[in-house]
Amino acid sequence: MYHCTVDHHRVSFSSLKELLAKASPKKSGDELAGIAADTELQRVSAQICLANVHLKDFLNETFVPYETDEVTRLIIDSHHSEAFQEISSLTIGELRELLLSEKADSEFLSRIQLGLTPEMVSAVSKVMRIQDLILVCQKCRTVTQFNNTIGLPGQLSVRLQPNHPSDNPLGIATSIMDGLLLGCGDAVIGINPASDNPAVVRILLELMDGIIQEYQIPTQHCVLTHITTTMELMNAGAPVDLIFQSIAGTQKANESFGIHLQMLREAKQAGNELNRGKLGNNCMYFETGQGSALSADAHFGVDQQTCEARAYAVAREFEPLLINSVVGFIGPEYLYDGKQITRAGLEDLFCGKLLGLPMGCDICYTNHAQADQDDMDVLLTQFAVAGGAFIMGVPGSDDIMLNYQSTSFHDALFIREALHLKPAPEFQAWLEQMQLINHQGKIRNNTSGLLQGFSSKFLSAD
Amino acid sequence: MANIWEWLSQYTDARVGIPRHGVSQSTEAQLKFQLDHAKARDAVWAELDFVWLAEQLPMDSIAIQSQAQSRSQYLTRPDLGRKLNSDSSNRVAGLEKTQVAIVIADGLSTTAISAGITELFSELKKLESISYKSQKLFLAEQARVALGDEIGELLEAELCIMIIGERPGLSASDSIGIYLTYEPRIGKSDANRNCISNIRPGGLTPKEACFKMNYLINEFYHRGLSGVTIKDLSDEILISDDGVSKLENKD
Repeated sequence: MYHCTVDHHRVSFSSLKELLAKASPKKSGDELAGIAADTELQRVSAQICLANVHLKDFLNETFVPYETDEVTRLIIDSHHSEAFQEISSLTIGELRELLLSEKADSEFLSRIQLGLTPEMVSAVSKVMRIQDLILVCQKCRTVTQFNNTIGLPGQLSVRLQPNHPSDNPLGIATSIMDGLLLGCGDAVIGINPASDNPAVVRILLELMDGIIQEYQIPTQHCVLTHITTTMELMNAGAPVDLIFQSIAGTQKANESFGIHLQMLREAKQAGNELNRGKLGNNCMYFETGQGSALSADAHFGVDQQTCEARAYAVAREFEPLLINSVVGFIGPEYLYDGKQITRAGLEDLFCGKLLGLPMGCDICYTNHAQADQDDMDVLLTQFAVAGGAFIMGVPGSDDIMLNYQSTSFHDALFIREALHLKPAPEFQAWLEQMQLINHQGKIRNNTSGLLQGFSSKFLSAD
Repeated sequence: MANIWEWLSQYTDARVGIPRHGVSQSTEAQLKFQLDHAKARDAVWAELDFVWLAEQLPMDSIAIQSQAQSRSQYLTRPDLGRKLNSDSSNRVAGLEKTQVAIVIADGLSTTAISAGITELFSELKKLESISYKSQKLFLAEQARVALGDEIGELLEAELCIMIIGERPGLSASDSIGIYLTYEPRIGKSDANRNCISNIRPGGLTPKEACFKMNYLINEFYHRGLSGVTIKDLSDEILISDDGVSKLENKD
């Protein structure tokens, strides 16, 4: 039991799990699950109570049973008691203050990374405002490499997302060209295929590989298909750079995605053996999102943000090049409006960064959520100020395959210009060499059409 | 440069080649986006006039409601949209048993239904596969796809045809989807259904949709089930019949 006294009233919570759920900023998904605070007073009372809980308590009370959940086992078994030593006496409230203090510089934050569990990180974020989250995020640094470098200070990378509703290679090539001309694609050129047919996926892999080879672009590609399909294609000799998978924070939710940890281990090993990365071997790409565990009926009474943070514990085991929280895609029954989407986006960035991940964000919304472009501009700006690693780039924000709105190539240009951020250094050098940007790093206004030979090689219908 | 992108737009509906001023999109492109978003938002939030709808249809219909009492509750509580309210459930339970339940539901796009239902329904009335079966038509308010399972259970139906407004995209806010469930009963999952999606001007025509539907329904009765194991091979039949595919994907 967890108790505290607020305004002379004694309030109690039966478990840490319940306390975190009640302390969570308002989300429609937690309400749908029936675990959210009933009143604003109860929410803040829970936050006050949570601030006094010791970090040690999180090591004694699991949120999902150890015996039946391999994600819990991973979290407990990989917990680093030496890294925890420096913070072991703190409460959640004191951890917040330490994180915000000057003592907690980048080096300190790296040092305690493996002593933090996802539940601790989620808990402390619940007593932090967005400005607190931003300040701590700015101090967290994770650098990863494949064919280029992701996550350097002053860098913001972009996943070029050239989806097409029928996987038409010409249509996809057209969107890729549009993105490259606007300086996007350094995080990855990544297609969500409409089809999960391996033959179609292979055509898309070869298309992207051909473009990257032809123009010697220092980036990597990925088709976001199920990990088993990618493994099958790797075995068949298809050109696979990054291995994609959606992951979640409980074993049952991962089972609903058709995966388990051993499968991820095997895939990573196979990717490493291909040894395609010119600079590094971070070959995994993960996507996550608050609400995925509830949607699979696999949340076990854990709030959606904490489930999400547990997914990051899964991710960090596999040292991904990229991981992004697809924050507004799931719909209003989980994140109702722009305010909830923005808060969730910053929470995810904070939890991921504190756990040591190269966090990106699919800053996005669906048409049945109460959100619009202005909300996305707010989240994009906060995300970039906080030092997020990458965003999506979709032509004109309109993903014609997945039917939702994400950030556009122009949004990427806007935020790079507004905050003086740059693409990956290797990609920046390529843009200069191709004369797509001028010596100040600005996109040229007079680009003379497509890259040379692009139409004849990649856009001829035969 | 405009010409290159005009030429390239034959390959994709993506918003490529948007004119740029500084780093920002042209005013025209920005307002076009806002216009499309406005249409999509209105499609979600507009009320569907069920009295008007009943008058448009050449068949008697029964009005029913889910447990979601408002549009905002419908959006945040999908579970309520899958259950009949007590009044509707009593009404359906009092009806005689029926082989085929046809449900027209607002779903996530009311404008899709108000704009497209008349033509689609007149094609549906010609379906051979259900022409000799007893049928009832329901008009369902604040409904999700699985609401048809409860109706099917109460009627002990062989088949539920759920015609529902699809979640609007930016380019198309007026798509209708049809979900077919053989032996619809409470607890059936999406894996037990077959879906015909993207029925709208510029997408699948009502005639094409009903051709597919007829094919699928015949397969259900033949194999005694619906769902992921039934593959829609109706395109190939069309090609083999007259040598021309009328149902090719438009890309």
